[in-house]
Parts: sequence; C-alpha cells; structure tokens
Amino acid sequence: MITRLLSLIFVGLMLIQNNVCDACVGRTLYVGTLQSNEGKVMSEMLALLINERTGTSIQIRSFETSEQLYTALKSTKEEERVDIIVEDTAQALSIAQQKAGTSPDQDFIAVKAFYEKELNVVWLNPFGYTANSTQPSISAPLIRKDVLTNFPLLPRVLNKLAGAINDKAFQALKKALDAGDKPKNVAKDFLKKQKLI
Amino acid sequence: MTIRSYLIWLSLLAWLGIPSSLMASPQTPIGNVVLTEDTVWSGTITIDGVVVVGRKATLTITPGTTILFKRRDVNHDGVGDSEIRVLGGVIAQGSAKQPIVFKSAETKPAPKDWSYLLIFTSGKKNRIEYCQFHDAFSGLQVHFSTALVQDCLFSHNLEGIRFGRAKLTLRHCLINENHIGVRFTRMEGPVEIQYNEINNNQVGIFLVPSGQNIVDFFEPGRTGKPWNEGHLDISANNIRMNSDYNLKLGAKQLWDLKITNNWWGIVTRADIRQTLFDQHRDPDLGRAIIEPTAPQTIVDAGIRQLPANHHATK
Repeated sequence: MITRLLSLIFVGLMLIQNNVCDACVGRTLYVGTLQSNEGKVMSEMLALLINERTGTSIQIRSFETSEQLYTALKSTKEEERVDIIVEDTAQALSIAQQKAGTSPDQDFIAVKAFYEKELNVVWLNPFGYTANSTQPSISAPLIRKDVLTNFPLLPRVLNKLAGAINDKAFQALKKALDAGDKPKNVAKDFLKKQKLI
Repeated sequence: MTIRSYLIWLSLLAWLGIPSSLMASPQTPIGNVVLTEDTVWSGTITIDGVVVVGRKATLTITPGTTILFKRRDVNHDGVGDSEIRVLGGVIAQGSAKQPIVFKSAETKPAPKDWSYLLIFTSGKKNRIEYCQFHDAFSGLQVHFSTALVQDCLFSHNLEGIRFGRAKLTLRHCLINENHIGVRFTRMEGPVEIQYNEINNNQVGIFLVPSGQNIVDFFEPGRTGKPWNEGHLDISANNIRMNSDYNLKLGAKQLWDLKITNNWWGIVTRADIRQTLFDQHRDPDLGRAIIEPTAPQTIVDAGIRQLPANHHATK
C-alpha cells in the first residue's frame, strides 16, 4: 500500500515537473489557415507577431476545406491540432447555421457567443477590414480556450492588430500578393511599417 | 505512447534510480535511455531520441568528443526530438584545441534538427566549457539550476542559449548566426553575462518573461528603478551587427532594465537606439538603460584561444 502510494506521489511529481518543463523549454503553437492568399497572409501575420513578441515557436498548418480546419481546431493531438485561426463573421454564421443579422457588429456578437459556448473558441478584437467576402463581414483572430489558459499573454499581443488593418490596408496586402510577393514577406513588411515588430 | 508520457516514465525511472536496459555501445545510437550512474563519454556518440541523466548521476564528457543528434520529429512540431535532459549533473569541459561538439547527425544539417542540452532542476554545479553547439532548437537551456558556461560557441541554432530561473555565468562565448542569440525568460538570477561576442544573429539578446504563467507573479506596476539591479548583469559584451535588433524586450517585459558598459558596434546614441526594441518602439514595454556604453570594442570578449577553423568578427 505504501509502495503504491509512493509511486503515485512520484508520478504526480513528474507530471508537474514535465508540465513546468514544457513551459520553460518552449512549446509550439499552430496557426491554421485555408489555402487562399488572404488566409496565408493573415496566418503569417499572426505567426510573426506572436513569435517576434513572445518568442513562442509557431507553425502554420494549411487545409483544403473549412471542415478539415475545424476538425483540427477541435483536435487534441499534437500532430494535427491547430490553436489559432483567422475567421470572418460570414463564414462563422455558416458554421453556426445562423442567419445574418442587421449589421456585421450584430453578427460578430452572435458568432462570438456561439463559438465560445459550442466550440470553446474565443474571438479576439477584429482586425478592422470588412471586405474579405461577398457580403460585409468582420474578420478577427480566434483562439482555443485551452490555449488561452496556458498562454494568457496572447490576447494582449494579438490585440495589437485590433483595428490596425482597414479596408485600404487589406487591399494593399492583397495587391502585393497578386503581384507575386510571398505572404510571409508581405506580412513582415506590414508589421514593420506599423512598428509592431 | 506520446512523447510526454514517454518522458514522464523516463523521468520516473531516473528519479527512482532504476537501471535501464537500453544502454548501447558508443557505435550504436543511444536513445530513450536513463543514465542512472556516473557516466563518461568520449569519441563519437550518436543520439536518436531522449537521453536523461538521472538525479544521482553525473555525465562527464571528455575533450574532443563529438555528440551527434539524429533528426526525428514524432509529433510533427517542426523540432527534432533528440535531446539530452540533465536532472543530475553534467561536466563538459573541452579545450581550445579539443572542443566538445554537439551537432546534427544529418547530412544536410539545419537549425531545429535536435532539441537541446537541457539542464533542469539540477542540484549540482554544472560546467560547460569549450563546447560548440550547432543545428539545435536551443543549443543549451538551463532552468532552476546552477551552471558555468564559458568559452563556448553557439552557432546556426534557432536559439543559441535559453535560460529561466538559474544561477548562471555566461562568459567569453561566441554567439553568432542564430535566430536568437541569448534568450532569458525570467529576469531573475543571479545571472552574469559578460565578455561575450554576440553578433550576426537575427536578434542578439531577447529578454522576454514567460508568457505561459497562469498566475502572474510579477509586481503589478513599474517601480521606477531598473528591474534587474543586483541579479542580472549584462555588461562588457560586444553586442553588434545583429540583423533585426541587438537587444529586444519581449511582451510583458514592462520594467526598465539596466544593460550598461556594452559595445554596440556604433558610437552615436541615436544609431544604437535603432538596434534596440524597447519602450522607444512600444510604450507598453520597459526601457533598456544602456548608458554608459563602452567607448570601443571589448577586446577581451569572445572565446579565449578561438579554434582556428572559426572566424569571429573582431
């Protein structure tokens, strides 16, 4: 009995030690995106900002379909999970199977509540642009709640992009991509010009 | 079995001092093994997996030893999993003519091929001298431990050296061509970083409190005096020609830091400021107090009797 108890205590201690160790040595976060130019540049934007300001290692995972992306957003397996995505309210209403309200702001409130309750995902403050889809919509970074628990600093960092990309700025990003510039370079140039990194 | 659970069982074996049957000869790759007794390495050692130095053991590495890490990335996080995790002690004392080399075993080596030499909650006095670290996620990490690191080369890693709460002396090292040269995550010490040559990294020194603390133990407001006085001494280093910034304060580093008497590669204050990322760039951050600066190159900085095959910027 005593041996069993001691073993349990040791396992408990080692679990604590390994969790603490994870926090010290660094864990990788995963940003998920669809394979569109816009998706790529915004995911690079988030990855660069987090990495440059916190040192956290970031890996971007691309998906062909929204269904695959949301499956990864629910996964707990290291090899397939994503922790952060960029989403707009039009697509989110479709995911939530809800009808559009009378304004994008109202849609934002509706999908924010749905995602938090049903998907355990938190919407952060919107980037500012509204022209990413065929109807007006609001885009923002989304983070899993469990990630938020372990990385409480992330909202403070990512909210530096809140309102920082208006429609004009977003069109300039798209134009650079259409001209053949790499999404990572486009994102880095923007962040540097904004003095965010 | 996940890597974490595997590590837990390896650590448990190390804690209990249970001998492992996985020991291999020096010619055979060593991996997923716990060293439970004092061990001496020499010649060429190849590591494929995790080697844990148990609490009762000390790993001694003799001059001229080369330690190769095979790349394996089981969890697809982009970082090679091979590592040495020291819970006991490590004495790695090379010499100028016979350094100890830690590097990738791959034919086309790249940063992140392997994880790190990690000294974690060690109760012993660890010594890392005349060692060279290449191709790692972090060449060396030290947390909750005591270590003397001197005359070492950190080059072509994602991070040269990272440490958190530690009693650490880092001196006379050459830290170049990494993404981040030196990363310090706790701002607690005592830590001395002196007489190092830190150049041609993307970021020379990155001072960033951990963003993973669920509870924030830092005091709530700025006190008006440098945060690090008395327990973090960064002086008499050459910190220059790092492509993004010579010195960067990370998110949550809200307090002023005193980092004086270093040579930044340039003389005018305005030009030096351009190589720093602190409150001047982001009002949320603290200030890097760099005056007085060293008036010229610190001639004693860098590895003493540098191996002839490596070029240092002097």
